[in-house]
Amino acid sequence: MNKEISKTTIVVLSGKGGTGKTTISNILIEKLQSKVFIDCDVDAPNLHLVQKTNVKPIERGFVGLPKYKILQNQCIHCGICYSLCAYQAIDKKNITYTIDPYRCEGCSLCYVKCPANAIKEIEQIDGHTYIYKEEDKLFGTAQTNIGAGNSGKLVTEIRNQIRDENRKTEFEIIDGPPGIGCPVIASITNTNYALLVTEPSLSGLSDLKRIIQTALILKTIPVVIINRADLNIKLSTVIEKYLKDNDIIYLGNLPYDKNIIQKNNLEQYDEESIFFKKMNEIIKKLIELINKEKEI
Amino acid sequence: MVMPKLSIAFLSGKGGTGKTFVSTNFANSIESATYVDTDVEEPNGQIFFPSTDISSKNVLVKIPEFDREKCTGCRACVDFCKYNALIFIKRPFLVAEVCHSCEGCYHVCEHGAIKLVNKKIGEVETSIYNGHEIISGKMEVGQMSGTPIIKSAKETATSDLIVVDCPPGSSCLVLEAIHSVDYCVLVVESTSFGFHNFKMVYEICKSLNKQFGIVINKYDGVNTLVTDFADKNGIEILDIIPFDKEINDITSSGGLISNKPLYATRFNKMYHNILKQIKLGDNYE
Repeated sequence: MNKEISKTTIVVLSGKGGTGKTTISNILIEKLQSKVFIDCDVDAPNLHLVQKTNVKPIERGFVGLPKYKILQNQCIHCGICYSLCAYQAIDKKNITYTIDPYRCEGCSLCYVKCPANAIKEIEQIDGHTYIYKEEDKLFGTAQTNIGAGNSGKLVTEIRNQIRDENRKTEFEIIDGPPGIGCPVIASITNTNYALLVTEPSLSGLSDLKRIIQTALILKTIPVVIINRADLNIKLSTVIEKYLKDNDIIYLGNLPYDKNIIQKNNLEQYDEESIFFKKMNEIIKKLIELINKEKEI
Repeated sequence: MVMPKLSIAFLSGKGGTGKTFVSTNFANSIESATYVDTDVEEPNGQIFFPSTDISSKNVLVKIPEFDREKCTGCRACVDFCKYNALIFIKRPFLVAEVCHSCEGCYHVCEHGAIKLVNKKIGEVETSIYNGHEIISGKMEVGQMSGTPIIKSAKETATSDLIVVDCPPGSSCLVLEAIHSVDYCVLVVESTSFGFHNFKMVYEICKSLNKQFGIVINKYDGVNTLVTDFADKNGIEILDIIPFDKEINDITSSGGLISNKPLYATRFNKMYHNILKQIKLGDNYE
């Protein structure tokens, strides 16, 4: 039967940072021959450090909400802005009011309510998107400017830009951010699977529970890998039991492998290592799962 | 001796470099220091300071509620909202998930048709461990932004030395966590990923004129990316902690290595090193 291959989007997440999201995303991209992939960890992107490409990226500035500035020569020191701002973004020193750009969320209330028109709107670039376009692969990444808000919006922006390219791929891989807040929510939205990479520690488990809940709220199927499982076998067992008790799909575990941490690209990885053998098993299981779900 | 009130933040850029590991042990090693967990999306600090007596306060923000009788359908609130949290279908409706709680709609409504009601976004928990005040900000799952929880957690601290455990990244959350702190400790992993993200928080500290030093964690004894950079830029290396099975065993099971005198001395030394740096700096009053 000749049927169109539908796209499966897998977002790699962890809750806790530093569990190996980017390393695992990078291997998945290679092994699943993903032709479309995105680094959505816009506050600390790293995938571009290990994705070899010869092309220059197409760079675009991302304009978020404007910020505001008080024109001191027009200010009548009434303090209306100061008392209205819900973010406590307006500092008061004697009778001088200034806006802290890092606390300002751009709601524009001060601007609208200032009786002296002493507040100015300033358009600002909150970050950049980068698209690496090759014939057989499309790689998107983005970076927020330091201290800028709107990371969730930037995630949506880079995902939309990639979507608009209309490339065909069987698997789209998203390397996600840590945490459970707005950039994570923007990364999970409209994905099929959330591949959760955890580590055997009480912190890892605590964060895993929160990211599982987040995935379930957003109606994405969570599947779990325990990375560096041999570093604390007892806790690995505790995590496995938690997953079983809660009917969460467990794909398997990976050992601590010093080489993986030190090497920067896939060509240097040892395919014969235990790490890779286990990784291959995990990928096999994942593909079986995806195929089974598709049939339903 | 009366010490000035001092707050020290631990941040990293990349997640999982050991912010919580270093900051919990640091706080534990200094008498009556307060530990504040501002990593509200993944708060793990409390795991290391177990207590059966935890008090909790809710963190609330305001969202609008509409009085349908008074609403004239003038759209002023909808047109004002920069976050597209209000949609208009004959009258305004709130999409609560997108609301940033700026309260602007309430202030622009000329018909008194909007009142502000509380919405819980998380909580701040307080407990005591060996004479240390332990404060933990926790965001509820499904919420967008934990900034108000970070503010509230920091304001709860009462001792003279406040240790702030920050969220990862370089976003507005991190800026809120280091707002008004006296010193920043950058916990960095000596890997290419760690180094790349470290440079981002390094830029934050520089642009905010914060005094800072670095702790290299899980050091493999090989990679010199960070040490070379520190040497070149004259950055204080406060400590280098090797990757160590014993440390991992204790930490991953929720323990504190600073309960061992050898390590307590080590973190104490770090503290005195920081004090020395602060005194040498311009900001010391």
